[in-house]
This record gives sequence, C-alpha cells and structure tokens, in this order.
Amino acid sequence: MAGGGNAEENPVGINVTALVDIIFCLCLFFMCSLKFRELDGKMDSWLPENKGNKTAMNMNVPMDEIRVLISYDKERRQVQRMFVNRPIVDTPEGDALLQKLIREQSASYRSLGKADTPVIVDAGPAVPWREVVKVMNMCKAENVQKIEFGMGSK
Amino acid sequence: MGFKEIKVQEEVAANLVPMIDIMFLLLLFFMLNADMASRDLEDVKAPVANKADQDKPEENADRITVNVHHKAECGKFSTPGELCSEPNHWFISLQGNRYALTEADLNALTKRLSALADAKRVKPGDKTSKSERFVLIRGDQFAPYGLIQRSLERIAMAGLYKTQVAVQIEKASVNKQ
Repeated sequence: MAGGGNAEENPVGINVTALVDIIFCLCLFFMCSLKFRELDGKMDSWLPENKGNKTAMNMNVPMDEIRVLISYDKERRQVQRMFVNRPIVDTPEGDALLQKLIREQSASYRSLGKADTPVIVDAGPAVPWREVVKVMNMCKAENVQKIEFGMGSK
Repeated sequence: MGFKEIKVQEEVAANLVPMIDIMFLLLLFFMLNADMASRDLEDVKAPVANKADQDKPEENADRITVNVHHKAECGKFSTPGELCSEPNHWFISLQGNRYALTEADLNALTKRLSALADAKRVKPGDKTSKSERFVLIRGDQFAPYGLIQRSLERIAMAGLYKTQVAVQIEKASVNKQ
C-alpha cells in the first residue's frame, strides 16, 4: 500500500480511494467502448480469380462446380433458391433438402477425386446477406472445402 | 530542569510520479485500442451461423476489414424483416472511411484496397498480380447481396481474392449438435 512501512515512524497515510475510483471508472468506460471489437466467427471463402471482369463462359467445357442460385421476391418478401434447376422453398424442410443435395453432390465429386469442387453461391442483388450466409453455413456443415461467390448476376 | 517538548513539523509529500505514469500508460493503451476498434469495425449486426470458425484476429494481424453497413437513422431498417433497398442508406467502410455507392467513391475504394493489397503481392511491385492478404467482409445481415457483390467486385479488382465472412456464432445450436 502507498505510504507503507512502519506506521510509528511515518504516521502519514495517503487516501487512495479517489484515485482507485477514477481508475476503475476509466477502465469501465474504455472496456465498454471495447466491446465492439469482439468478433464471433468467420467463414473462409474465395473470389473467382478473374479480377471481377465478366468473361464469356465457354459452355463446351464441362464445369466442375456446385451452384446454388438464390433470388428474392420483394413483393412477397420471399427467398427462392434453385439447385441444378430444382426449386427449393425457404422453409426448414427446404433448408434440410438443400443441405442434403449439397451433401450428395459434393460426395459424388469427392468419389471422383474432385474434393476441391467449389460450391458457388450465386445470389440476386436484392437477396438479404443472411440468406447467402445461410447457404454458406450449410456448405460448412457438409465440409465443403471451397465456397465461392458468383459474380455474374446483377 | 524540565525540557520543553518541541514539535517538529515534517513536510510530507507523496510521490505521485509513478502513479501518474501508470495512469497515462493505461489511458494511452485504452485510447489506442478504442480508436482502432472504431476505425476498423462499424456497428454491424452480422448474420448468424453455427458452423463458423472461431475468429482469432491475432492470426490475421494484417487482415483488411471491409464493412457493409446501413445508415442508422433510417426507420425502415429497424422493423424486423424489412429490408431497406434505398442505395443512399448504405455504405461500404474501410479503415473509418465511408464510401457511398457512387462510381467515384467506389473507384476511390478500389484505389485504397489496391494500395493495401500491395503489401503482400505475389510479385512485389506488380500491381496486376494477386495479393495474399486476407479481407474480412462484415456485412449487415439485412444488406442486399448486390452491395456485398459490389464490394467483392472491388476487392477482386484490387487483386485480393482471399476473403472471410464475419458472422455471429449461434452458440445454442452448436451445443445441440
């Protein structure tokens, strides 16, 4: 403690209560302001390496990819998803079906020795970001190694 | 013979120098931290996910953070499930600088991203080569994907391709599985 030592020799004590109060207040204030720094989690993803330029697609080359299309109906406020021409509704059952399809498709690519086949999440401009992340979350759940964002539709 | 007791008045002064030193150090530490937090991270409510990796910022010390966030004053946005598609209400932020969705602002964003990407180019000095720097995209859960797409486009144009998406981990769901 401040002013320590033999009390008989130096009977003077410093009242540090106010100081401690101020330091605690400052700590509290700054700690509260620091809470925004916390970040829960992250998902790795990859951008196509064409630097954002739109290039014509060569339809003759067979593509190794799993593409999930997502669109948003503003009037109905409804999300619509497509997995290889198959519409999937935005319900928990639809979520389970989509996850199953991703699982099956990625398993079949894995069996062909193409484990790094990407899942491309191709969403429309009005789709809420959380819907895209929901599909990414399904891919993570199925141990998809590569998740990419489609850059085509605008 | 009697002796008169003499009271000696000692002047006592507490040495406050170390205390002030420590207080200044503490203040400086917290102020710098708070400043960095506000510069890099905007107030964003990230989408919820249960399969995300725990983020360890120390592993990606040189990571670039791009925020896609909404103007707080818009009433529409506060209604759950209601999306605000007003382009003027959305911003892309990088290191405390806000970029609106205009061509001029987006070009400025690309320029800034490109400058940041230079630190880890595969071929140093070559602006056209890829950069190994990670980019964290902190998009609001209600942000229209078009905005995220525009920021991704700019990130790609700057030569950055290693991206990460910020999410909130749904702890309850993780425990269930």
